[in-house]
Amino acid sequence: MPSRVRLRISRFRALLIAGLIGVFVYMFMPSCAFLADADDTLCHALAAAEAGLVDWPDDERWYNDPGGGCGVFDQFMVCPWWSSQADRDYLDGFGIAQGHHWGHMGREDMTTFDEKTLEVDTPLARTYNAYSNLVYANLEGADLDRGHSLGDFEYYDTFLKWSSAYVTQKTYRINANCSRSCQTVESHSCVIANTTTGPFRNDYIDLYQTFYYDIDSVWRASTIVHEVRHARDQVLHSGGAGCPRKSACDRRWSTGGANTYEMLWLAAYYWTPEDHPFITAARRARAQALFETLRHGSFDDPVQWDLASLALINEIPEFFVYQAACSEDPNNPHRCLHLAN
Amino acid sequence: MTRRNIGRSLLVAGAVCGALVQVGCKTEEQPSAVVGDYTFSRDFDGERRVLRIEPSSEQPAECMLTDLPADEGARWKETMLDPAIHRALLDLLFDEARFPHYQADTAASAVAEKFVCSTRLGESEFCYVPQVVVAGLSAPWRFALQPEVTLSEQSQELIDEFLSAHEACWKMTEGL
Repeated sequence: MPSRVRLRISRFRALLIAGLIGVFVYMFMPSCAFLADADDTLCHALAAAEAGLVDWPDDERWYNDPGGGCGVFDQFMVCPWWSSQADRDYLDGFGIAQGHHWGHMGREDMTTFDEKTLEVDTPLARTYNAYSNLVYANLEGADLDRGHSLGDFEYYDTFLKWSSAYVTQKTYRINANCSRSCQTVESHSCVIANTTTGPFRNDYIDLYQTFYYDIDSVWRASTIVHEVRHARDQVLHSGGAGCPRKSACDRRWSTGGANTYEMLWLAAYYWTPEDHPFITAARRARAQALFETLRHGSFDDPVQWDLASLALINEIPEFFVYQAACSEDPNNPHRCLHLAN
Repeated sequence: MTRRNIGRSLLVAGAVCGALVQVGCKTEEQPSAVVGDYTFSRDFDGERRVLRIEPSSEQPAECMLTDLPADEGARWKETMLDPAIHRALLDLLFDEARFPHYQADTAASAVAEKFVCSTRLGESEFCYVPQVVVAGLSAPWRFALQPEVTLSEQSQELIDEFLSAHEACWKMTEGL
């Protein structure tokens, strides 16, 4: 055998052996996934359950919430679904029914509450409270038919009605996850939810401990709208980490990304009548604060539109939903979601 | 068909199948925004500076510095801030005696919001508000950096502390 051929074979063998060693080391290396995460208090609470009773974690709101003011959104007496199985079924229709792991995250005891704070305490109940903001922001509540075409603005005559149907129709599965998806153990920099999507597959959204216990229910609701834009629509973040939220940045408002949708929903929620039976002044204030936070931290290019620009969002929802060319110039490729920027 | 042709056909078919499987299996993971840290950002003089710190000084700080408009190549650095710098910044942020000043300046900044626009040759107009925004609280603080708005001494101190912490973060990682 010529020496050149022999040399090639031996190189090939060397590469093969090196590759096999690499695979072997990778397979047996104790990665983080094998190690218990000391910060997973919800997972630990589930593991430590006795006779099916779980000592659910307490709220740990990390942002400054003076006097725990947002905790009232989770109090059982302001949960319309608490005494209505029909309403709970309606809420399950948002993709929770198809979701995984809800069985041990409160399915059996979703009406329990903390006797001191009166807040419902299971992850499922707190997820219901997230969706409640989508459902009861509409005066029809759980009677709204979410099956109409999303283009039917005679039926969806407010943005809030349209968004409730949008979230239903664009979600396949919502999973419960007991983990805290943080940068490191004891880091407060944690992911709220994560969406997995792609062609030829059913999308799913995983909700983490931070979703249930670290943020209030209005924030949870806007997060759902955000994630759903990633899900069936597969609209991914287009920013290049050039804004404070890093990988969760969108390039600009008019790309119609997850942050734009989240802000649109918050604006619609904010612009409801003052005597709304479900949206109290505290909830409205929360929506305003979240809108401002996103406006100033989630886009590479600063957003020129403020809440006042969106005052008519519930009167003419179709104007805010349809995308149109920003400019009559055929060479301008930008598509605008209602207001250019 | 010769054996060679069959082999080639199988190879091509295998490659096509492999490519299709790749497309089918391709998934995108999109995490929602992270929470729990405090973010200071300043858009001023055609430049953006951002500093993210956690409540604990045992967690690393992250900082970013880029020209405006921010392009896709905006670079972030991560470092352990000097605990004294970290504590000084958070002390100013959570000093309740300062809240009325921060609140008043935020309200004044919202009213006076003014975009500075520029058009670069061949590009669309780019606009930004010269301001400092502090997020991670129940609602963001905003401090306009424009001559019409006179900030309180307390807000100015917070901004100065943020900028020196940012500088420390940026310089500390410069040599890495």
